[in-house]
Amino acid sequence: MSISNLNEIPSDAFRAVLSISPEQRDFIRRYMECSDEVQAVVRSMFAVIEHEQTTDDDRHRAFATIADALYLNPQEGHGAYGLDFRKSQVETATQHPDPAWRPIIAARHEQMATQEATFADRVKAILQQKNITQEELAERIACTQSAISKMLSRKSRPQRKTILKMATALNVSPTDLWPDLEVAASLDSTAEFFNDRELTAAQAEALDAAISRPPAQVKTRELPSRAGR
Amino acid sequence: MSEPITGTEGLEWRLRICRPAFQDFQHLLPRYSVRSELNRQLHKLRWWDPDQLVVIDLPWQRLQPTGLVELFAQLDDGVVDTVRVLFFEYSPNPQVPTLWILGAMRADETLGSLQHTIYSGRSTIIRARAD
Repeated sequence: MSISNLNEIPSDAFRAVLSISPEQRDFIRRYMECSDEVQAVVRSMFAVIEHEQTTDDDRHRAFATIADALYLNPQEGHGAYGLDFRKSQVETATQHPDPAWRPIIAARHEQMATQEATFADRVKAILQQKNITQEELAERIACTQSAISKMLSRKSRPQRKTILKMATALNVSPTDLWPDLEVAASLDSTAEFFNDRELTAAQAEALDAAISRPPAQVKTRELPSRAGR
Repeated sequence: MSEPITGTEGLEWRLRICRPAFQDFQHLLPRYSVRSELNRQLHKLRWWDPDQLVVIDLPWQRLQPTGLVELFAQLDDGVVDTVRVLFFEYSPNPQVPTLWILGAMRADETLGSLQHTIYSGRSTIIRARAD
């Protein structure tokens, strides 16, 4: 834009620019440094944030995306955009910024490794004992022999529902394969409690009635020890 | 791509995660023990094969019109039972197949146009910046 006449200066816009805070100026600078595609992403994220049906979780995701778009520096030690997922897992375990967390993380990894080893040993023993091949087991639980092999060689951790299917297929209790499964079952009941918060019509009526009931009249008398005070 | 991302064990491959996806994981699963379970499950993606609808024991499907992929992982958590993880394949170096994890949400949450906007926005940033 070239301005030949001083009267053409957009003074309102200029005053608006002068009134913004240093943080807002930094935001605009970073935005202007982005490519056209990334600028379009930032605008679409603001549209998501302002949308009337947006949930708090969506807002969180949209803000995280904007922050990612505007902060261009790669993660330290990774040298490129994004993080190497496998490397980041090892780093989390060994180089957590809070040293107090490192033994907790190491213990969790140890626990998972033990669970997987126990599972693999037990399934192998049952297969041998019942003379069942990996192919037969795969057929019974509708997966591939390759998947069974990876689980039994501890390259891959089974999901809980896979353990349950295997237990049914092998005619054993799930805890015979994965002893910690009972703990998971109790956590499930907690999940059901969280998901089942909607009141039935009868419960809602009872609650309404309780709320609209006048407060109970309780007769009181002065405590002897406070008499005369 | 018509073969598993690691057709042979020795093939170089990459599984990368964008920063907002990490933040999704922390927001969705505040307990480390549950996040570590999800992380362990996601290592199965090294055997992801576009021609098979299950990777080991994790079901997945492609989403239209974005072409992103959603994968479901069951977790032993008291609050979040099953997580939906969004990812896509983008290999700046065609010699090194690369999957990108875009984010995660509860499986029972709606995946509508707003969520598609968020995840396809993240994939756009990756395409613009990854090398």
